[in-house]
Amino acid sequence: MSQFQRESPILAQLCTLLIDDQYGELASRVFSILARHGRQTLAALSRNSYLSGKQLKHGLVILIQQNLLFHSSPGLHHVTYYEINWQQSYALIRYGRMTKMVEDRFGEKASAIISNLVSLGHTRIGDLNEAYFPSNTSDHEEDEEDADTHMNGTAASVAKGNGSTQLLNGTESSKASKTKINASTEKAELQNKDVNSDKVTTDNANVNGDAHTNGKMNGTASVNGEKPAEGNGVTEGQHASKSEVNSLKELHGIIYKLMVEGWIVPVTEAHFLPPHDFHEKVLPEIVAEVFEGRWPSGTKKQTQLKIEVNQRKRYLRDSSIQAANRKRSADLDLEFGRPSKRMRIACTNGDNISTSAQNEYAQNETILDDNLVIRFNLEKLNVAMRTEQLVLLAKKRLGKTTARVYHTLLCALEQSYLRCYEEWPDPPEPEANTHEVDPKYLVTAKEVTRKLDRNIDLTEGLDPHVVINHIGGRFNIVEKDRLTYIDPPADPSELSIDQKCRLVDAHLRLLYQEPFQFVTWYARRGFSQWRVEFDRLCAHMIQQEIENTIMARRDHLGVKLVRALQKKGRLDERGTCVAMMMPAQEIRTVVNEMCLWGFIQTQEIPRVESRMTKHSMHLIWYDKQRARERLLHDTYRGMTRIMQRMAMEKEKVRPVIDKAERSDVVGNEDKYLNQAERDALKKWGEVEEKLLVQLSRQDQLVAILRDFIGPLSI
Amino acid sequence: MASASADSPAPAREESPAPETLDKKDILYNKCAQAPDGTVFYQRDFVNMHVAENTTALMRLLQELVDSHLMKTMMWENQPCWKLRSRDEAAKLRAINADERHIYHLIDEVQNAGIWIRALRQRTGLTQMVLTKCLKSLETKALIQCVMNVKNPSRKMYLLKHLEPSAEIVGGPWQTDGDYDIGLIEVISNVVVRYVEHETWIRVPVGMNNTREAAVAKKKAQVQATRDIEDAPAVQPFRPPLNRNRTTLLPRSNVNLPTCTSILQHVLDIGIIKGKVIRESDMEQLLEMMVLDGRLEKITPSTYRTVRDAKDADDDTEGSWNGFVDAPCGTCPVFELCGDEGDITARTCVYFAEWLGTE
Repeated sequence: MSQFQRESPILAQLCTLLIDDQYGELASRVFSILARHGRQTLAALSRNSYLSGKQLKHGLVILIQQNLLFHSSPGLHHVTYYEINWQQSYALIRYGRMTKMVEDRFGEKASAIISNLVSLGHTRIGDLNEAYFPSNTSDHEEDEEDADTHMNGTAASVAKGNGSTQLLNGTESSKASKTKINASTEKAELQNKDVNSDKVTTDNANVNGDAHTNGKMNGTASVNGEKPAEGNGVTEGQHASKSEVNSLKELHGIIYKLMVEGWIVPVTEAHFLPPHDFHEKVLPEIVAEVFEGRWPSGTKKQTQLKIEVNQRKRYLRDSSIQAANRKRSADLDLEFGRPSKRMRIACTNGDNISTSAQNEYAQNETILDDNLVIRFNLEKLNVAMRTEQLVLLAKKRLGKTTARVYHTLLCALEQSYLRCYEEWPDPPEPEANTHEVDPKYLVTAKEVTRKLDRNIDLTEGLDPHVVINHIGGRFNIVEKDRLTYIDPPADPSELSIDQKCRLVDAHLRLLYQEPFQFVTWYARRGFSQWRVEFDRLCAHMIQQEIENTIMARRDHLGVKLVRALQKKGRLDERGTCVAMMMPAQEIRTVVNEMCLWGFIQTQEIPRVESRMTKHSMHLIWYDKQRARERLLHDTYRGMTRIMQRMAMEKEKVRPVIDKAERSDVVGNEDKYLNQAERDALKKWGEVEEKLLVQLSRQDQLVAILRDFIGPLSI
Repeated sequence: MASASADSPAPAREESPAPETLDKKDILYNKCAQAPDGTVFYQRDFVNMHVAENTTALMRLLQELVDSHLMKTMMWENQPCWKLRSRDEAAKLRAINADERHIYHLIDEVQNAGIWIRALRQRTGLTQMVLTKCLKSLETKALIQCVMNVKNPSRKMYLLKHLEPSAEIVGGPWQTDGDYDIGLIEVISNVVVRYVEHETWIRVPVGMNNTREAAVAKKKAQVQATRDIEDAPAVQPFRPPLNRNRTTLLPRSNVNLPTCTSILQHVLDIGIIKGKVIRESDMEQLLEMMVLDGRLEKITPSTYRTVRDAKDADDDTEGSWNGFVDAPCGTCPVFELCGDEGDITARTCVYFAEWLGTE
């Protein structure tokens, strides 16, 4: 995560706003101190702020529970240092997206669990059990307290490992906040999460930031630690059965499935260490084990050290996940190995899914260890967002039918990708055989056909001649008014599986022939076997977004200039004119503006010793990585402005909102609110939605620019 | 010195004067003029013509011809060789003075590459004034021409009147007087786009297969109508295309994508270009530019197709770029000045107010 630890002031501001929105002012105050002064101890924190020690600790507890902070206690003195986890902090904006993505893929039950995990931070399985199926329903109070200690035992036990437990003593009541940012990202159901940390002070030196989940999904089922009876299956309307988990087995089945797919990962110690400390921890181990304690000298040994360190880091990070996957191959093949079943869950469409899913989960005999601590895997979310963005791009270029086929193909591949790119890669082997691809990264047209939604008309988006060729028989091509038709129209539901395969194959070939090369042909197995070169595509997407931005800000001339520079390298004015076939005067203004925005760079090379301007060469060039960082930075800034504007707009209608949220008014709006107030509320709703939609789209841009691929060389 | 292979003025094949008035000089000239244009003669060629009795006489004859500018001497691999000039040209040359002649020879040497005026001054050692006068005089006699160098617009280049300046100087067919001919480029680009689009895409109505699907969807919906209204319908409800006349472009199958050669052939075939020679390399330059311009895209290193217009696609994301630039901040002229406090902030922003419709 080292790349993400390069924070910028604007990102700090954005994250502070986000935390303020979700966890209240105290947490955001503590966060902003850390953002301003960097890694520091509790003592330094209190020196740098006006907060009392008690307040600081409360703030830290919230942040740590949500994994927004790294902490480590290196050295002999066991002083704990705190450091911001930028990646996770920014991800606050994506929480709604997570639940949406999981819901699309695994249904509402899974998304309800994810939503719980998100609001709780990392969670012990035992606590989840308790939250869903309280062991003792009669004894309210005792049970609650039990659950509380368990819930936070996770944080405590981890903290203990770092020797900082005695410092933390949590009582915190953060303001209940609405995480609307996320819920409305996909214009999905609003979901109100109240993270109430009630006051539970205990004498022992444990952390007790009592967190109750009040995850209210879609206004139907509510999982509630305080009211076990409700959590245990009160049905409210028809929907309840869909999003409600009926048994412990089912709960564990869903969690296990999500773990196998990589959406949930077991928490390891490495998750809490700052990247630098992680490195510092691994390095001496490797030196001791591989180099017998002697610091390696010479380039060859240094390289070996680097490789070994990266290998160890990967191992530490992935070992717990791999353990889960091993277990799957051993005894869970029956449940999860069958693609047909996975498929039915993957394409959630209507209610038949819930029954089949229910059966599947019910069959599952997995019972997870109570002490296993799990959390949501942010990197997997990036994979899902990558799928989404690629499909959008394909839709723009090739139309929706082909995009649907592409979506199915990418979803089929998703399971094989835990993350978008490896952060600690091995150096590429010079003579590596790049033609061989691990079969898990391949997918055939046949598989795609099987997983494809049956209601798609595959003949759309293809040249009618191709369609006729593949489905043959009684169809003719009719040309009328310079348009081409199929006569009679083919009924998509009457096509045989074989014909469908052919059509899917034709769509995939279209994707292959694009200059983007959305897919790459690999072999002939199963009609045709394909792989996706994500790295190349993601670099393309970055370029595409940069060009889009330039196009919107200026015109096609700017884009043309950037493309010319990218193709030809550094150019002087003459060279630019020749490449763009335009007079110099017209280009000059474009160059000027693009320099101001930081998309292209200028350079002056003196030809004579005196460095006279007249005798220097003036070159311009385009650096994709720089432009990418610049645009990312600007996007962060745009997001911050939107958040600020939203706060301001909300402040304007604050009295009306307050009134509308009063318990006697809720449900009786018509009675208590006058017309002007209702209008103001409606207007506020529109404004908020517009801002939130834009915020979410900017987040997608951030994902494209930042999360799909590591630093670009050129 | 001068390249022997370079084009030279074709000696005019005039009717030779009556034989009795001919001296040996004219006989030699006429005999040489029978050879194809631009032939270079060596001493042995003249010997074979049997005009002069011995070498000395031959050399004298040649010297006379050279003096009267009917022939010019050149060197090829350390051997002297000669080339004919037309009588007209010779007459003109005879009419100019020594300085001018010197300049003329220098310009003649470089042929169609042209010579820079400063280089001429260095080689001749003449003053600027004399040089300018001589060049003027030569120009008025229609012996030389002045062209602008596209690479260095400030440099005046001179070359012989009858020569076409090389592409290096004038920059190919797309440039007129040293500047890119935007009009010409635009016209040709449009021709190319239309041709390539026709070759690579096929136009079909939106929802070309929709009529039947509609019936199927309706039937399915009826069958399942008894289900609770809360449940999502199992089939996508049929939505007729908003505009039935809308069409979309689809990539043609099994098509031979146009290449530079075929595109050039098409442009030449419709005869839109007159008075200019377009070579394949010129066409390639234009196509490369169009790729940069986003009007064409390269499929393979040698084949092209047009970019499908986003508006043609049957989706509803028209006119949107990305989340950043669609919000006011993305295109804000004072984005860099906007801060948390001060005159320009998100709170006081007029662009936001306009966009959100709040004042």
